Amino acid sequence: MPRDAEPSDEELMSLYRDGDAAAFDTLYARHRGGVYRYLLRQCRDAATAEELFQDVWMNLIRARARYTVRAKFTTYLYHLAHNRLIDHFRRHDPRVAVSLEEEGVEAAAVQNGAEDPAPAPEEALDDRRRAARLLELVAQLPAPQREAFLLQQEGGLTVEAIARATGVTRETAKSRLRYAMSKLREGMRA
Amino acid sequence: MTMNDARLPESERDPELDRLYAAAAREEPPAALDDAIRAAARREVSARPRAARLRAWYVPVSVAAMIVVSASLVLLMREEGADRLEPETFERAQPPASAATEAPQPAAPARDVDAAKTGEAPAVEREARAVAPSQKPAAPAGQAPAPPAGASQERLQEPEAAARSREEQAAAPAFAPRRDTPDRISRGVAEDASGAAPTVAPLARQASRSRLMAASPRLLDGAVAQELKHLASEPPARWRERIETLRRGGRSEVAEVLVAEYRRRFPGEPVPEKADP
Repeated sequence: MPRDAEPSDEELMSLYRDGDAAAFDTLYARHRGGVYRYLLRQCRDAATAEELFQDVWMNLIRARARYTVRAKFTTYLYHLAHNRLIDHFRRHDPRVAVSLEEEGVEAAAVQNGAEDPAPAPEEALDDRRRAARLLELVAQLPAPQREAFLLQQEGGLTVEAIARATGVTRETAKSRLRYAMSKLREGMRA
Repeated sequence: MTMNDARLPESERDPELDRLYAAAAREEPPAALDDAIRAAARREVSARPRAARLRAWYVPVSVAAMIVVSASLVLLMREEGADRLEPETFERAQPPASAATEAPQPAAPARDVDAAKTGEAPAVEREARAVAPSQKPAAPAGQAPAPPAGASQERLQEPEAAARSREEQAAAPAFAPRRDTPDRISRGVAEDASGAAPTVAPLARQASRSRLMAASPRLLDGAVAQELKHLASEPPARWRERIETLRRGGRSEVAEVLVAEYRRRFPGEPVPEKADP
């Protein structure tokens, strides 16, 4: 069934707001994996990711009555996830929380340079190994760049949507995404 | 990292990275967590269906309530505004004291109607006529009935009498007149006169009498309040006696107001009939 024939995320959320529980099931099925992986890659701990994941959806459920369509639903959803992640890092790793909140791209670049490990070159990587390598590289990205990349991959967000979801300017979001992709490409080539 | 990397077009998505990431990213939340979240979503919906329905009515109900309250306020303010205008309006409607004592009462009902329509007749006279037109036959033309001297004299002492009236009203809570404007009184009389003169319908007469009574503190100054103060704890017989005395003394306006109050207080008692002149 083509996606065009299905109700949009915004329509589903509006239906759920008006009391249609089945609409939530559809919405949840669409985004559960993406949100979970976004959180998992950021906090790197399954138990923590599950806790944050549940909080994000519960926040969405509790806020359903106030939902109005102002932007894409995915922007709204990942904005909730981003905020929950920031709260988590404020308690457990304030340095990461600051890096996720701050606007500067240069700071991220410096951090990137410090964290960038020397890639382990291997001559013939099959897809499986290459995919595993990519996940390693993603994990090594600075938190803001990793977030931008994950929002693009898991949420399908555009640069503008990433900026809105993370509360930064469009230019900052754009730069973070560029740096992330650049670094991943380099790592994969290495 | 080079600056060239940072200047990549924003729309660019690396297909190879996308493919590899999609192949690698397969983690999913546990099924138990899915079930818990879905159950919570259903609970939330079933727990607040009524609230959601009510929410749909909040806006229209609030708007309707605001309209009703606003309309009520406007009407109230309009009425209170009319009451505030009462003194000067009343002054305009008042005839000179000499006119009240000297001018003969109009004899013919037709004249009464005309006068009421044109506003020429003094308000007190018109009210007095509206009280009991059937009880008190019209005087023949040219014959001036006994003027309500007490009322007109007391009207001249209005500030003092008004203060006295306020005190006496406090002393006699059973008599709580509504403060109609002279304008409204005149209008009521005009309606009575134009609608049913010369024989005013009992209902209209009663309404007119009520208006007169309501306006009595101003129309009859402190006289009525003074009488009420004296009669407050008196038996019906004493009331009848006093009413008769007032009538004999020519203070028929005060007497009629007392009759109205007497009727209200003693509905089962015989009403003192007006003696023929």
